Amino acid sequence: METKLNPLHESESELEVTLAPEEIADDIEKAYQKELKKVNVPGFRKGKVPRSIVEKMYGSALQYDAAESVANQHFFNYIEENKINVYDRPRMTDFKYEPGQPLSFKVVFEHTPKIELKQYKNIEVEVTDLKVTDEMVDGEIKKMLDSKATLTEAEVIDGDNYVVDCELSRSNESVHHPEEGGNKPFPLTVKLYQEGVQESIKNALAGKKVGEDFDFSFEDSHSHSHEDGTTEEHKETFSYKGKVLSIKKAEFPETTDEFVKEITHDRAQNIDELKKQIKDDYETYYAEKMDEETEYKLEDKLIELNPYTPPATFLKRYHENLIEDRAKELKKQGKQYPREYLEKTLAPAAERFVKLYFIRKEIIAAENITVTEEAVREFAEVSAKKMNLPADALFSFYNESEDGKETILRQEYLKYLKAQNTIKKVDLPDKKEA
Amino acid sequence: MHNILVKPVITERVLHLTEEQNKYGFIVDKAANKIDIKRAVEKKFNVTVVHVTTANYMGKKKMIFRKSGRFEGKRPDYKKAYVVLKKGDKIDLFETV
Repeated sequence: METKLNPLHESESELEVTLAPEEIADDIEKAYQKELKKVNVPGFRKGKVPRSIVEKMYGSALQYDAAESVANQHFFNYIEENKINVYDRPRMTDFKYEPGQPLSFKVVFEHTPKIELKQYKNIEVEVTDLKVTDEMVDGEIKKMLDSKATLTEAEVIDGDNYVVDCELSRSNESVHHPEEGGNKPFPLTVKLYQEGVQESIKNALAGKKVGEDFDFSFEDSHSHSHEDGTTEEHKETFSYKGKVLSIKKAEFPETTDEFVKEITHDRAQNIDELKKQIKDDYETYYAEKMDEETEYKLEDKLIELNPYTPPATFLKRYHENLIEDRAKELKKQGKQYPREYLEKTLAPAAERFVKLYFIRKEIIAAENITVTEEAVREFAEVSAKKMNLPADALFSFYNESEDGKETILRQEYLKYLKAQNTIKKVDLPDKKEA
Repeated sequence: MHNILVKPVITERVLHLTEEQNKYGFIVDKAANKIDIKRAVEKKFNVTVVHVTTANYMGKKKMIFRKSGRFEGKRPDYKKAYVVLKKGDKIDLFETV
């Protein structure tokens, strides 16, 4: 038997096989007898048709069928012996057989990609350095105070600590979205002390009483992304006229120890502890965010530096699963998108996942990354803290479950990646520049 | 009369009779008699026929159902003939080895 494996690309190969007549004679005879049993001729019971009759009726078609099943058998034996993972149904091409002559055939099949890892160490990625500022902590405290504020009816707006109910209507037409355009009046509650309230509305409302009219305008710029990848900048002036319906003065509680204890359910005893807690929470959250960004950017780099063609069938199946899951999710939310739209939008995510799946496997194998008992324990302890569950129970769960171990293996691989590559923290770009 | 031999009967049973008794089966023209059949076989296959038996069969009744209703019909009647050949003679058509 002569076999030759020709790689077509990283995930597809062609196997060329030539078998001498004496090598296959017995196999073909066995396969032929098997085929003979399937022949149905009127006047004969199945499997009782004499060979000469069948040959007269079908010529050497049955021999070809037998040769084909012998070829199949040889192909699958080869796959098993060489431990090749085949993803798609193999396609037989160029099948040549004449009774008494050598049997030769070619089979094209998709398999686990053979990736030559070019670079997965010494990569540099830039990650936004998210820092917690005192303003952010104060902002959170402000929100807490707001939730406990007492509102009393007032006659005139005299400062920022007011909640104003008003009725607004657009006084100019929307340039870019005329379809939105109704100049229909709509109600709006404005908390003048909150962040993000337009200065123009604050100025327009200053000194106003219930029933009085006011008007204001502001300029907004935003961009729209198009399907072809281009973005369009929009600048628009929004002008409104409004009427004050009610005015309430907001009085905020003092940040006493009692207030802190009440609002935090005794988690903090005084304002300093509360500030520290808020800062810690922010820092934990930002650390997670930065970690996610690091992992995402590192894996993006891996795809870029180790290009290969993933198995098309595997990718197609994953893409379809992704579409189905998304469609189900949307259906639950009462939304429905055309399948073509989901196909198009989810294609990059599917490709990213599949490419990374095989690169990750290669790295894990190349670096012999394994799940140790210590790693399971460590992961269980971290998860236990997050989920507020006993660590021992989680440890035995992760230790026994294959999925759990798979998750930990991924964690270990990410740890390895982070340790072997350079993560450069960069400051958040200035909002004005962005 | 032409086309006395309509078609050979090749079934498990006839092949068994061929092997055991050198007997061959044919569907023949309904009007043909044993002498006609004997001559036709001898002429066509260049063999010597020693014995002929015949049997007439009634075509099966068939019924088909369509949207437009039920239709009754019948397959044609036919005549079957078994011929025994002289020892050593044979017809290739029935050859099984």
